[in-house]
Amino acid sequence: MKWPFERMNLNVDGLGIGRILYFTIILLSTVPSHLTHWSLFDGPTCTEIIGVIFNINLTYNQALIMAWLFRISTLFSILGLFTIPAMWISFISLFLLNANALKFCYWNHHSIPLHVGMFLWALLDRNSSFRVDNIIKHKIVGSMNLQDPITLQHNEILPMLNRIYFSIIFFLSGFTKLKFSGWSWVASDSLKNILITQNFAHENYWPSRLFVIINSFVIKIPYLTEILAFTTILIEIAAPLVLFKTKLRKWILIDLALMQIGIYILMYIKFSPWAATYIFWLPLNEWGSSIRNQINRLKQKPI
Amino acid sequence: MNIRRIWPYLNCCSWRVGIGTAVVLLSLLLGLTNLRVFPFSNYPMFAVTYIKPQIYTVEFVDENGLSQSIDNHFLYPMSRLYLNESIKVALIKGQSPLHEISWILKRIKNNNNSNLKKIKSVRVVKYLLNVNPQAESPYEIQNKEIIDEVAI
Repeated sequence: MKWPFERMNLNVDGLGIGRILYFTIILLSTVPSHLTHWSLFDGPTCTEIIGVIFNINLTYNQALIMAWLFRISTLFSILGLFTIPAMWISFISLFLLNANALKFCYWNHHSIPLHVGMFLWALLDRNSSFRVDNIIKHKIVGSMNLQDPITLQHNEILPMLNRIYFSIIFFLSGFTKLKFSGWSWVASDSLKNILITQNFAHENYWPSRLFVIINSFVIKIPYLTEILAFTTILIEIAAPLVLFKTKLRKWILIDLALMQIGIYILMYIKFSPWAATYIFWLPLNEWGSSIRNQINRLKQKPI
Repeated sequence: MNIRRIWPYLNCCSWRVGIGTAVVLLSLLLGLTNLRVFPFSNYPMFAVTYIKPQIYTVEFVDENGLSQSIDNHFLYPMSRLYLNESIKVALIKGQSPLHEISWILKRIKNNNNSNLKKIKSVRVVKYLLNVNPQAESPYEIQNKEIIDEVAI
């Protein structure tokens, strides 16, 4: 039997570029300062509804420390300085900040999918290159042994599990809509009504006045919201197809990205941290090799 | 089945691979159920059908009887979106929505802002909205239903 998924064997340089991109997107797009303010929140909790099984209560000062730990450790993860501990601290600090915030009636769609991805990086990345660690090790030991077969195997597993998780989160978004609403999510004014209520919910916090005009324009066109709702569910349900090397893959990936941009424009929900989940579809090996060649060329140049 | 080909994926000796695979599988299994376990999500927020463009919120009523919807700035770090969810959940559970907004009352009492001092009562309301691109705000309130009210 032919293994159905395309094998994605990232070399150490590809993995290194992946790590830099992944944690850079997380550092730039996640706002830990907003999460820290939930420690001062005096409202009711709804832990059982939200599904936070950990009763984490951080004081404001503890949350501030977590936010700084998150920023510093994510930066270290990008640089590859104390890489593995840095990735674990980055994952744990964001996890604690979110768990502290999520016990209130607050469900953060923006950064929830990052937790599993960050956990996989911390767990499975043992040999990505472009690390300051490697330079330090090279200075001390004199040579680098990157050919350990067990760690090289993780170069396949890490991108593959991230790709599977990517398809799961999108598939479940579509599946949940069908499960909770059935066909009425598409064949009714549901999306139109959501767009109208979003105008009220985000009042004075719209990303741009232009987006509000586009929102109002889309609502007024008959059947357009139904078409958009149908397309959304279709793309989300089709997301697992990206695991297979077919002609559809590129189009599904582009459509998923366009859908999230569309959600930002029409519903003012920013999914920028999700950009990190897309990196495993980029030609990381090629980019890694090209940067490696540049570095080698610079090394060979006489000063 | 070519076991050699899939063996690296099933390698039981690598505990890291096992844990990673288990976490990804768990996210799929929990997502397929009604359970919501952090950090695994089934993304239910906009999954329900919005039969009408309606939203639950809170209004401040001043001494002249004029009402004003609570703004996102006052609610920070919460927002109108999550306040709607919070009130909706309380109503579904058969609880008084006033319990859900008691923190808002506390904030009004503890705030020294002169405008907030003029507030005489706080209402939990349900708005029926419509789009209105011509106005300053892109929505208009078509209908308002007062769910509950409490004097300050």
